[in-house]
Amino acid sequence: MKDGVRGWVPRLLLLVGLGPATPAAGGAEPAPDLDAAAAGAIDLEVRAARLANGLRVFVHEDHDAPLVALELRYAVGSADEPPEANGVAHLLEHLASSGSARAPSGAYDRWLGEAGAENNAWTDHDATAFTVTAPRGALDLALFLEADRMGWLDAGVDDRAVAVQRRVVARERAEAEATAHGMDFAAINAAVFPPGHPYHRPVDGAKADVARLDRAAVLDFHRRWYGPGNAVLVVAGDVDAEEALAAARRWFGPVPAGPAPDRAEVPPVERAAVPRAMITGAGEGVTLYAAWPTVPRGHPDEAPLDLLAGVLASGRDGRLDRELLGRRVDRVRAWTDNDRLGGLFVVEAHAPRLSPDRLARLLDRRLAELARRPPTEAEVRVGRRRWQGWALRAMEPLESQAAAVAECALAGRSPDCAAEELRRHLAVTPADLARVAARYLDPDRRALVAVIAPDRPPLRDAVELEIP
Amino acid sequence: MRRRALLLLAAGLAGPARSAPAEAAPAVEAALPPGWGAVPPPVEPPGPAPVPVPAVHHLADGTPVWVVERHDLPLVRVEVSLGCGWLSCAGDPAAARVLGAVLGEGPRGEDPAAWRAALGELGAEARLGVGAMRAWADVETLAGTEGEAVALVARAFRDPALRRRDLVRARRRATDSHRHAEEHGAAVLSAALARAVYPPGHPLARVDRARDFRRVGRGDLRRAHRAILARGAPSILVVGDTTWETVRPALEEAWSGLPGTAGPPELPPPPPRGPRVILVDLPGLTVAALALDMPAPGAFTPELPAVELLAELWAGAFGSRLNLLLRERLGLAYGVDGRLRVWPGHGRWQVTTTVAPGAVGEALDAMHGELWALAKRPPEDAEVEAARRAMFLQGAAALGSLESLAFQLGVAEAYGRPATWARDQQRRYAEVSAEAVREAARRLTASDEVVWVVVGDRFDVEPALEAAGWTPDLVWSAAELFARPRRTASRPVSAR
Repeated sequence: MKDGVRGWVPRLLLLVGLGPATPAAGGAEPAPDLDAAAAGAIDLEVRAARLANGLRVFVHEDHDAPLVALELRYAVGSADEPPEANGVAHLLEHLASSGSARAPSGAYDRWLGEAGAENNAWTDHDATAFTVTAPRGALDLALFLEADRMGWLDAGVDDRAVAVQRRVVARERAEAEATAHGMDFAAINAAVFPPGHPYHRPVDGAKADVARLDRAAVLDFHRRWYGPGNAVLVVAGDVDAEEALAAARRWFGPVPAGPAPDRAEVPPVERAAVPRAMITGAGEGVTLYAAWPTVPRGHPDEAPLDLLAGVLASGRDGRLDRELLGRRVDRVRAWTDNDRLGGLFVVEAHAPRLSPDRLARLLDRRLAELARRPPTEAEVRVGRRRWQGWALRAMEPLESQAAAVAECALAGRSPDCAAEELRRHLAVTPADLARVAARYLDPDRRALVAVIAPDRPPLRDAVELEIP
Repeated sequence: MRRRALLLLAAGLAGPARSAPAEAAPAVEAALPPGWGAVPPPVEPPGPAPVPVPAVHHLADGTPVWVVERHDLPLVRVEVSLGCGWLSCAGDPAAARVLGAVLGEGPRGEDPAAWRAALGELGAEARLGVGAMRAWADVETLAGTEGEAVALVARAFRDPALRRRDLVRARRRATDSHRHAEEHGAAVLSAALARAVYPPGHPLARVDRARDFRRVGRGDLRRAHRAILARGAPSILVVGDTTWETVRPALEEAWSGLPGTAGPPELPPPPPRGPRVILVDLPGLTVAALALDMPAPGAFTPELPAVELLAELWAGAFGSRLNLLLRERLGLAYGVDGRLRVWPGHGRWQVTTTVAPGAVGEALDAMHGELWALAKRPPEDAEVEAARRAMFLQGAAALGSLESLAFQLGVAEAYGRPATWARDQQRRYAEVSAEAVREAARRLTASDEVVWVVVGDRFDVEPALEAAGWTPDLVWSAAELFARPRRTASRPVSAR
């Protein structure tokens, strides 16, 4: 169930490269112009337009390879599902490739394949994205297919297609359940966010709900949320910006405007819903997650929380890495995940042979050290530099550039906000880290979630979670 | 998430000939703008990707250095490879693999945290390890810091700390990850394929066991390290925002004087053993894993490109025949993974998927039918062209990051190919005829070396197999695959 971890994996990848120096670590600060060079290098030049039906279009030219990357991202995900239809966003993502008015069943994949293009899609709490990477000469085809399923999906989806994709979604869940850590993110969300909160439910859907979803429910969701005014279209690559904008107008211009998105306000979560929780996992030993609710994406505290995660665990040389690894703990990570309605700060530790309570005590002892020994300038300096290297690497592929623009634009920010994000991270100070550690990492606010192999003892006083 | 099928060498999208656009229903037609999309827009055919040809230089001692300058981002990647790995020449494979896990712990006599922090201060990410056929020391760093980054990485690789505590940790991780391997579907499938395809004694018949790692000591690590340094032929690849003149002094200082001359060896193909259907019993497994394993040409052979195109159109990504059938038409699987595993000497083509245990028979029938349909319905010209374009896309996509570009070029360099290899590979795809792909399909379907493996709970799976008329030739228990090899390791049940 990659959908559910969609917001998780990039952050995790992003953070494993981050880590502190020891306070003793010396070394001269690299040449000062590196910061400016890095931020400047990922300042993307983007042409923007808004069509009459509300679709926002962004084009970034990059002529390194004869390729184009397209991302159509809708501002809708599992958080927007009706309570009794958990999974409809994910099922719709699958069905979107099953046929539309001009592309009969199977044609979407076949036609793009014939063009030498590849496509994919994902769903998370707040967004659903469709991506195509294609030879530059296939841009028109890709735009036509995306416009067709945005405007006229109902003409191509029949009951049989819904039944087939329900089975595929069920296989996706079964694979996740049979895979070590495949359900961990769903468990963390279920423990931190209270029942009724849009992030409490699994992104891939409750099995019983998915089994009930029919064509009418899926298409109703499509009509409500897949309007052009609720999406951004990004084209990056070997294109002429004017020509790409004209092509976008040609294909998406006739798509009827949809209803305006209508969402209820959701109050922020101050403390985790379930302080101690557990599930039985398919992996070995015990994996323990300490998860705190934090801030939504774009919040000023997001950057210091990101760097704090790196100071704690970076894969090898974070504080927790150095203090816990090798003492019967074989993996430690710290990561953040920030979405529209709130975020998470998670510290993760895996021990093959310890009991969950023993592992929790080990972790708590080390985390308590943060107050007595706040992050140092040397640690934060290394974290900033690593972030810089990561940010540059993350912006190399065309698909990443398109995704970055879509993410910024969908959040209502400048389409080149990746550079602004990097500058925010490069401006973080040790005092910022100490402040966010004190503000957010309060043991009384967190959830301890243990994922336990069947042969390990349970976490004391823990609620056994059931992912529906 | 729509899952992407994987190929080790080949991946992408392909599909059969384009269908004519369907007529939309009258009500929909009325809603569509007149003529809008009545004919899908034409596609300008792509050509081979413009993969750059590296400039070839040498260190003073003759070590080859390939350099590709790219100045679009202030990043530099330096990859150093030695042609000696745990499978090929480093001695005890388990020791060499544990060595690979501890190489990233810094140089001897230095504080490991300070060493890592020094890399961090450069914005560098290093990756040191030992693979099956070669060992590597790679670093990607901010432009202007490549000299320092190269020096840091070289110190750790050439004179690693090999501390006892790092060994203990790496050994325990390796032991733990293999301790319960016989309970995990993916590990069992991998072990079963190794056992099913390769005879005892073949390097690829090896199945990792926890006890192999448990006994590794520091002396074993030192011996493996000495063997790699002494025997593995070095090669260096530099890509990114630098020049040969800039990076050369650091490379000379850090990497000259490696005496090895050994390159990755040829691995012989397994002897013919006939077609087989093997059921591996793994009690409690809630999904069933299926694999189809077939012979394939070896790496760098002239026959390989046609088989890559065949693999692409048959079990590549969403538009491939097998994915369209199993996922889009039948809804039996979340996806199908096709993987060409090629070495100098021979290759294998493995296609895997997972299904509900009760659907095993139906899924095998579908895969079997689709395989033999290659004979009755050979790949059409349009399918071959689509697969070719997918290869062009992969070549072009590899230009998108230093890491992917380095991967594409580095394989050629490490395996002694000319600097033009990666560029010419794109031309080879362009030159493969549809007839050559059809011939590859004919050879494949005429082969009697197809192996089917099913891993699942026998209680659930066997009735589904029987109902579909599948009778295993061999039944193994998962635990038996990880036991010490014995003379009679498996129980023949019946011939299919």
